[in-house]
Amino acid sequence: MRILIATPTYPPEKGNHAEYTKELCSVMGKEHHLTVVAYAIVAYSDIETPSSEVKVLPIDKRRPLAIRFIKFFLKILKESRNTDFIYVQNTVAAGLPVALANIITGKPFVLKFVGDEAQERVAQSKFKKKNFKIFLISLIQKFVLKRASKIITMSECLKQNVAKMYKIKPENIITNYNPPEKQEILPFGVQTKKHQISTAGKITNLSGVDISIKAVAILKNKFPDVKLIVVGGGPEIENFKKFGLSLNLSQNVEFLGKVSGAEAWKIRKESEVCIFNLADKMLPQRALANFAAQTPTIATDMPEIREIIENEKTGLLVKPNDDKSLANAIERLFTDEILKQKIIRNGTEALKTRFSWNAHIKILNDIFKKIINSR
Amino acid sequence: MTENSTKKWQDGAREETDKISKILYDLGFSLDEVQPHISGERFLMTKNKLVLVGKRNSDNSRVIIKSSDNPDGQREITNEKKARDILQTLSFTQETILFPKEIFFDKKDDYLFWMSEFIEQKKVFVEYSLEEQFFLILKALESQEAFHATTFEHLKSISSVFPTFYGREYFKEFEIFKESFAQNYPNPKIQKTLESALQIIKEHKKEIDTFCGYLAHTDFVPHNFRIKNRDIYMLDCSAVQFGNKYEGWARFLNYMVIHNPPLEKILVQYIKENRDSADYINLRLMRIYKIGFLLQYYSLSINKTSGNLKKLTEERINFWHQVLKSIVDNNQTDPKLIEDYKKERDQLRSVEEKERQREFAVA
Repeated sequence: MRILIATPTYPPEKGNHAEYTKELCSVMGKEHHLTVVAYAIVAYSDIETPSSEVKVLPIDKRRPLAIRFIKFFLKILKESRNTDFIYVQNTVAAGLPVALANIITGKPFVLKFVGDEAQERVAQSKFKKKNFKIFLISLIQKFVLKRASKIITMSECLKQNVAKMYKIKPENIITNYNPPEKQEILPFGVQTKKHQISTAGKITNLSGVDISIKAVAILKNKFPDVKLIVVGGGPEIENFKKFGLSLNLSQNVEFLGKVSGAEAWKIRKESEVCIFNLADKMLPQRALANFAAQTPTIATDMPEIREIIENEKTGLLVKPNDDKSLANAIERLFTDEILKQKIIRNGTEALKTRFSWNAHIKILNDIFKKIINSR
Repeated sequence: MTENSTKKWQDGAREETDKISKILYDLGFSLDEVQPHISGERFLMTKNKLVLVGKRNSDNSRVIIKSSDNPDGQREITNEKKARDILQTLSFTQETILFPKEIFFDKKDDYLFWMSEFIEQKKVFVEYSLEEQFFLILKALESQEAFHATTFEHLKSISSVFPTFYGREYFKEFEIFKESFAQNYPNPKIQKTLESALQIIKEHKKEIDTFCGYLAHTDFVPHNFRIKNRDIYMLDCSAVQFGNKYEGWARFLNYMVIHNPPLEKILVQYIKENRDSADYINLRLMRIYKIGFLLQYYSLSINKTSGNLKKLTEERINFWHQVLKSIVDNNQTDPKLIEDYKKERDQLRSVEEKERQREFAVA
């Protein structure tokens, strides 16, 4: 197949789109003819490509928005003539020029939808204000989603949301879980720390850190050395620190704030248990990282989590806001070595099968074949 | 600068400090007896501003005071404040860089004062375990990497305050380092190494470009940051620019060649094992560039020094030439070379400079 990949970022830029596209090229480049059109920070440099079969065409990001957008659109228009279809990595920056090119050439495109960009911008904005730009992004998103031949989402929950919010036929949306990210290689050996629990994410009043702290207070009676490591920054961190102190847990709860990727991996690997109390966008990646680190996970029982973690098989699920159930689940993993090893084994197996690059590519190939056959 | 002129500079600094002390008293601040930023070899670096340590009289809290009555010095202070302010408001990153809290910024009696809180730290960076140092510094460098100005709009928001460097600028600067070094300290062997280094930078200009647009603290070494509760506070915003992703890394690693070689080794190993080969090449190129800067700096210092300090400057030039050669050849620096240099350095350092270094080595 001749595939044109349109992406808003490409390494050395960081982020999911960049790293995913590069890895995808190195995996799929062996069997397909791939061309990547990417916004990049270079005007004339040759971008490093994963193999000689893959061509990467950079569009200089240092030009004003209108210019780089037109250049991206023209490049897509030109390159799409020699390809079977286009695989787009986001809805706005790459998706809009592709959708416009699709009007002219009729070239089908598959859209990878990783999240609502308008909502993300509102959530990330330092000013927390919904403005015209956000409204425009919503409109563009709707337009691009409607024109896509197929939409790929990273979870069933996201699939249902997209279908409902943008009135897309469910049969046009396919769930394909993202493969795990590369794991960190540390220059130090990592030993499991007995009775260490960790939790990571943005510390907000929805993060459930208070529930984890309460669970630690319960566990302290049986396991005086129990320790909860909280990784991440956020507006509620000081309040949760005070809450921990009020329960006399100064030696049992530690807030590390933001840490490097390497340290996050080390903490995950040395913990006996990892806890997820909140279903955020990063949850699937964090759960897969736990599988890779061979650290059992306990998570709040929610539809998004159930997709990744099977109760009693690849982790333990507990009722939301229930510190007693959480403490009980942690205790089971502290004391039941057979259960712990079963969960680790199943997680490793899930990584090799359901969440592997092979599984991801197989689904992609099926979608791509159907698109070619339908023309 | 001879010993007489060094003394003259130090007397002048003391005289100015007395003057500033009186103004500060009216503002409710007082200066410490010991001022590490104006002693020892500091005269080689200080230009038109003074960095002083003092306290706020109302609550005895310690403060850092930057002051100048010189237009260039005042411009330098104002630009540093601007840089710090803009880094806290950039919209293209979710990351934050921590700075000491600003306490005072205003003019008084021809002097511009910029005062900020003194970050108390339980221990200095080198007192942490190797593993702790590794994770602390990785966190700080990753925070800086998150400030990545990629688009036209990002670059517009920073270009009026920060210098921006691409491959061409690094190459041109290195050419200047090389020429300046040749004029101030003619040495065919070192000149040859600098020429090879320049060629490597020239050949890799495109690769350098690819990794540009990142925030880089060009003097990212332990005395330019302080650690409190696992948070790293950045000092000296005047050294911030947008350039290659690995410029800050390079300065830090070169510093650690002398101060903590095992840390340097594991950080390099980390890059090799976790990032792409292009990342490692950029790191090497930036380390070469930063040594070029150091060699030029020491060659300029030669004429300002005399006696043991002159000898020490020559030792430094020879040492950094050897380190440059090993990085150009992609080898690890010989540990014996480092140890020999450190012994020589400690013998040649003045008592006052040793005292100043001790001040930096305590929390």
